[in-house]
Amino acid sequence: MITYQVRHRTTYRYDAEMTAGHTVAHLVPRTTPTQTVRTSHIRSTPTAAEQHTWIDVFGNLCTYLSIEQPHRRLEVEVLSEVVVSPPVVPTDRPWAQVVAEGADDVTLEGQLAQWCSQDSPHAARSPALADYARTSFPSDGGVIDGLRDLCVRIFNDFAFDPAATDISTPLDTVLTNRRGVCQDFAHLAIGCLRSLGLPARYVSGYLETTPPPGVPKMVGADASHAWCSVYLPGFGWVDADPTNAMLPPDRHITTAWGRDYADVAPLRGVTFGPPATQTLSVSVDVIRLPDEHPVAGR
Amino acid sequence: MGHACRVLHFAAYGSHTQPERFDEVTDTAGNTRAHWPALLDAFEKLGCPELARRGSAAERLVAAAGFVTPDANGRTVDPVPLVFAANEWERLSAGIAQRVELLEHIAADLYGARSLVQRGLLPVDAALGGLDYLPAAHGWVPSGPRLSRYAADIVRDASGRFLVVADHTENPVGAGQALLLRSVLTRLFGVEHRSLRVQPLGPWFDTLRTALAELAPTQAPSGRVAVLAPSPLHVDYAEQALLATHLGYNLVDAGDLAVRTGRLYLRAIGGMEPIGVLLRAVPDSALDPLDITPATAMGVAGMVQAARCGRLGLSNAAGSSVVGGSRLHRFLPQLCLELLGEELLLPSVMNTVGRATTVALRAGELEASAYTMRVHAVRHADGVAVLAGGIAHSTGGIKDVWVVGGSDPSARSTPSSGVLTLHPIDLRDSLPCRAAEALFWLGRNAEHAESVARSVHVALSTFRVDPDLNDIEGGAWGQRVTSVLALISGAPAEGTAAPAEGTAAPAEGAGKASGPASMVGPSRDALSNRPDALANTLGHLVSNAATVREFLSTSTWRLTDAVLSERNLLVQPAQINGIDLLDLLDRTLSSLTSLSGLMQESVVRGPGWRFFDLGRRLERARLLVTTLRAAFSVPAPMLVEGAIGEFVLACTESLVAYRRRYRTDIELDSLFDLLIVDDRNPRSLVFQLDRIAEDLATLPDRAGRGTEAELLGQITGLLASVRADRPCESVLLHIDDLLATLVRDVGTTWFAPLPGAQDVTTEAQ
Repeated sequence: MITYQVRHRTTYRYDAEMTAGHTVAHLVPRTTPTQTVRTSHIRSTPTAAEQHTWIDVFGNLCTYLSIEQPHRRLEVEVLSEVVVSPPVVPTDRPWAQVVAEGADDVTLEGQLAQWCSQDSPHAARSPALADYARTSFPSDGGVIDGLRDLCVRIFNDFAFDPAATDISTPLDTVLTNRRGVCQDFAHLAIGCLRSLGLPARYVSGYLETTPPPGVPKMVGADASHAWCSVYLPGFGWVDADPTNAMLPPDRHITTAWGRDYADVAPLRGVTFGPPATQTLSVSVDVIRLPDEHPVAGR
Repeated sequence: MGHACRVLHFAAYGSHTQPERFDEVTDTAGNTRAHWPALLDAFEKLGCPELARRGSAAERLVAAAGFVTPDANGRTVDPVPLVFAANEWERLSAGIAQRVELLEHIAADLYGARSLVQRGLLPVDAALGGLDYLPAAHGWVPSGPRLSRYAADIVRDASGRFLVVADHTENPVGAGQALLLRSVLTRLFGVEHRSLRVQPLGPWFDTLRTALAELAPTQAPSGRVAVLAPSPLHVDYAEQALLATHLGYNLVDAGDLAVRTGRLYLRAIGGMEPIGVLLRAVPDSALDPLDITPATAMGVAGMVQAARCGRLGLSNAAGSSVVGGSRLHRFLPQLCLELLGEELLLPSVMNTVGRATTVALRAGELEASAYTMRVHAVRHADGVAVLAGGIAHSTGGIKDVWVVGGSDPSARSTPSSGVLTLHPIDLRDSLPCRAAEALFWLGRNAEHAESVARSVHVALSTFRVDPDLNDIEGGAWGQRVTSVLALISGAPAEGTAAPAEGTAAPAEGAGKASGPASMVGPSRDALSNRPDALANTLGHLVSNAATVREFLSTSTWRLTDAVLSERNLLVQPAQINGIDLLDLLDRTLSSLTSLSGLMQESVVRGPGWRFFDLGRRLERARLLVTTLRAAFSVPAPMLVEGAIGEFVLACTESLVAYRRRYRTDIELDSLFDLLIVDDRNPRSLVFQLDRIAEDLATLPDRAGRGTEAELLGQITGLLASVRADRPCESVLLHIDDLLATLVRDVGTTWFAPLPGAQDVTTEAQ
């Protein structure tokens, strides 16, 4: 088990005075089978006139902030302490079996998984994605093997290039141009998996920014990160990070999950004011805290 | 209509029906069903020409209310109603009520426990499938029913069983049109309507009002009800305008609304007015840019949050489209048994082949036509009320649905429980800023159009009668007239006698200057070639009117239709010559003056009318000053001064007044006296200033007010200094500047939008 302190600060600056703004944040980390949230505080500057938290259909913690005073700068900061344990990777099974069993799983989680095997605004199925995926998922292949292979291929075939895409870049373009960022690679993997009939969801979170000596820093560690997850009926979700070609060990911290980015965008807002140019800056620090209670006898 | 008519044998209608299909009029044995003969006899007596005449009248009245006729299938209004016996309608109503109940249960489950899927009653595809499931609606309970309004499209099968073709759960439309069609047909067929004891529609709308009031959240009890309309260009806009007007609620668009401190407010000219309940006539995808995916800039940010926190009631609730799709249809029988313990009364059907027929009047002939009818329901505290009527679509067009017999209509009433009402809205005082702005511009554009049309008309007709006018003093008359037409139609002000495009400009230094060879060129410019040309102004006028439909009387629509067709002729250059043009301008002026008359005589003197009048007066004042500047700033040669004066007086509708008062040839001092300082001449500057002051005095206090009185005072001061004298160019210019400032101040004080919303922004990963 590793305890992380996560500080995520988003700052919008405007070159004119804004009168009000409404923001919905998916920034307070949720509890997962491999993650416990000790504390998490969200605050904004200016202070929100209205602040509400609710749990969405996926179980994420959403925060609504309403800023109702003049401002040229809006800062939203979240400080969390999260304990992460390494996930259990299940015994592999044929992916075709996962597809077949998924349709019969009507548990609450299974329902969401079935929903996650359908198209969503940013990750729709397509024959091109199915073609790309099939190399990793031969007809008799295992789902975990396929997932690992798909991540490695995306890692090798695609260049990490923040200049190549934005939020609205369609998946086809990413597949054609072979460039993108973690969000694109997560959507790409999700689109591939869904195109085979597998339930796949989008996971938003963080990576450890400054790993211990000797451990390489991962790609995407300086901002919020995104990866994907596949549902195995009877077991649960198995995460996979195509940007780093791995099934995440215990250095990924989960904030929220959904069908795709649109369900869990870290911040989504509407601001009122005169026409203005806005600049956005994001800083993320994920620090490993020293063990508070070393296990006796070690 | 207008087809050759034969004798209509309603009694022989049975010969048109097909034995294998159910028919509303004729039973399988060929006998007329009991509730029809009275109607058929009455209609047969009326005869075909009379029916056709009334059918055309109905079409005109429905179109005048802004409804698209003919519809997409080229159908219009079929005057023959579709009649149901009360007991049969009660059976249908029970089925509708059950369906509303059932769909409400399903929606509550899908946005709550989702146990229906777990129990195997619904597959995930049907429950969450498509993009109708709104994640933002999950996990909270709205302030009232999710489906407070509902409509079903109904047909009958060969055995006469009612079937549902489609469920409308998000924003059921059509009740307003049903109300309109009923009032039109009652007017045209009053005798027949009364003798058949047709159940009235009114009580249902009272129930709708109650049901909306019941949606008011306990945390926001003082809020009003408003109708959130789609764009004025949307096919449903007329429906919503009619509904809002009938119910007595403000019709608003998303730009009129804002969420502050967790509550929804309407930006009205009296300030921000809290809204407790919103009848939203827009889809889920246009509710709230924060909660709806994919992100769009439509809707009101924070609105879903206000509903989630119990501070806003929505009709229908966010996400209600999830139970509207046909993908639920095949699971409904089982769900009904499980959830309500009842057999489903109204089965669903996709295939409408072989559906029941009814008598239709198409192209002057009777025929048996398949039909679909939309039945509306409203859910309130005591249950579900079904509208006793509606609209059916047949090959003959839209049909009114009559429910006849049953208990005494007057005994039927609104829900028995203590009738809940929200604070009644005095619509005369509650005016959304957007509507105020549109009315202000409607006033300005109406005045501008009238002024340009009249000036061009005067110029063309004077020149036709007396072409020699232009040979005097080097064409000075033509130059001044050209200059007036140029300035009032928005030509850049570069000297007063700047020749317009296409006119024979005086050759520089080439001896004696000459006027334009004819007035056709300058007229064409003023009619269609300049920024403020008549064609453009008319276009603006029609679109201003469309966005404030609910403030204008029905007759207004016939006029704006006329204005629009005149405008379309004006933009065709081929039409713009000689006599045709004068004739067209005559018609345009006649439409515009009728519009003025209607606005003057048929609109309540609330703030809406005040803004219209303010726009008209300010525009008239500015155009008057502009005309005087263009005509007189450079002294005209003595020989044509009178003719120019006469032109100006004719343009300002003051020629008769002048002659009656002065009984002399035109003298400029008298002209200025009449047009500027005579406070009894409704065309004078002082008269406009008095009305402007009066209009402004009736408007509520508001931050930023105060400059108006000062500006008016300055203008009055300037006028005092020129009284009994001819104002010079600089004074006129100064007055024009002050008027322009006044127009701008009215805009910033009353119409300044909520500071423009930025795009929806998201943080990338």
